[in-house]
Amino acid sequence: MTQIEPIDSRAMTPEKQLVEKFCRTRDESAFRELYRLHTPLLYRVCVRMLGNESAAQDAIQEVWLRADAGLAQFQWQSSLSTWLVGIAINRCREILRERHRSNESPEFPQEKTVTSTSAELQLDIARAVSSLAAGYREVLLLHDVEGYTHEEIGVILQIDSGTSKSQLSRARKILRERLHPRETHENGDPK
Amino acid sequence: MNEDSTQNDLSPEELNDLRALRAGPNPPAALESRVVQSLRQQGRLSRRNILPRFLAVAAALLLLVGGWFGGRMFPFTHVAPSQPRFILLLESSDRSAPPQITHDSQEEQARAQEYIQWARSVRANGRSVSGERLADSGEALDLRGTADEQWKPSSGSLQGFFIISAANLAQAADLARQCPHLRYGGRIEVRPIDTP
Repeated sequence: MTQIEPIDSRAMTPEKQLVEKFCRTRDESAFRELYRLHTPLLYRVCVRMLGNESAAQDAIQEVWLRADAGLAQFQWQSSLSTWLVGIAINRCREILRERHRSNESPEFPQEKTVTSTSAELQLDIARAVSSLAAGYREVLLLHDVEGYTHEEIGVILQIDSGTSKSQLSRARKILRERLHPRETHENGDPK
Repeated sequence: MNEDSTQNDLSPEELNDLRALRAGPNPPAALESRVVQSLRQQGRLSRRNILPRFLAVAAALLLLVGGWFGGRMFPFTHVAPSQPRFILLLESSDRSAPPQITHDSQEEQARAQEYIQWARSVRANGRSVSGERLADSGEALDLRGTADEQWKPSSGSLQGFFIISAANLAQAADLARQCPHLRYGGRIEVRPIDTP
């Protein structure tokens, strides 16, 4: 695996100390600090992947149980955030597979509307992102929403950065088609 | 953190709107408690052991309140002589992690105050209350008097005790239920002290 530098080496040092303290003492306050640092991001990812907050909350609980089990062996070859998001994505994938096996109806609204206000446009984008296939959704969320690099996405999703780039390109194309279906239909190509 | 992709099919405004999705949703506050509780139930979190500091503070307060003179440890001026006594064995709910001595004085003092208030309430109406903290070291001896070298004080078990007077076991248990030790995840065993 390629060695990836931490995003912010200054931020890693106190975080690494916090992780080491937690692993050594199992101190609840240390865990809560880790939880508060990372859960907002993890939660957003889970909500966008699973389509509802209830499922995301269940996922988050499982994510932290798994993270706790593996934290002492974490080698810091990536940032802690990257590692945690990988756990979250894997859990979301499991849940989505379970839904598919049980033939549950999709959680996401498939229809799209064209609106003019920025708040509604944001809702449309959220819906459009949610309507993407899981693989495209993962890459788009991680890159365009959360700002991970393709290298980091490669670590999270266990793919190479080239695959991440091509998946992102395809995801953006589909997203654009869904945001602007009239334009796509009239021109035959997305703008 | 973000590099520019050459396959930029989205407008700058659309990219900004995507990034704006980072604003939420935020996890509900209750989720933190839920996650912490699930870890705690699996024995993966230690609880802060505030008992040593509490006992030190509570003992000082009881001595002061009771008007301690001449080296008496536990001044009880309104004890009904015929009231039976009960021992409250204070245990931690976490039986796998070692007791933690924290240095968060503000939080410890706040919790110690709760224990002090509880002790005051026990002492009201003529009841007696005393207590000790158990050290983290000791020996376990068998019938032959041989020390078990593998033994160490069970993590998360007996941390200290109180001895209180009460009319009967039910009343003693009712008093114990008010002890903040339970609210912080501890366990209390209430036993009558058998007197001939």
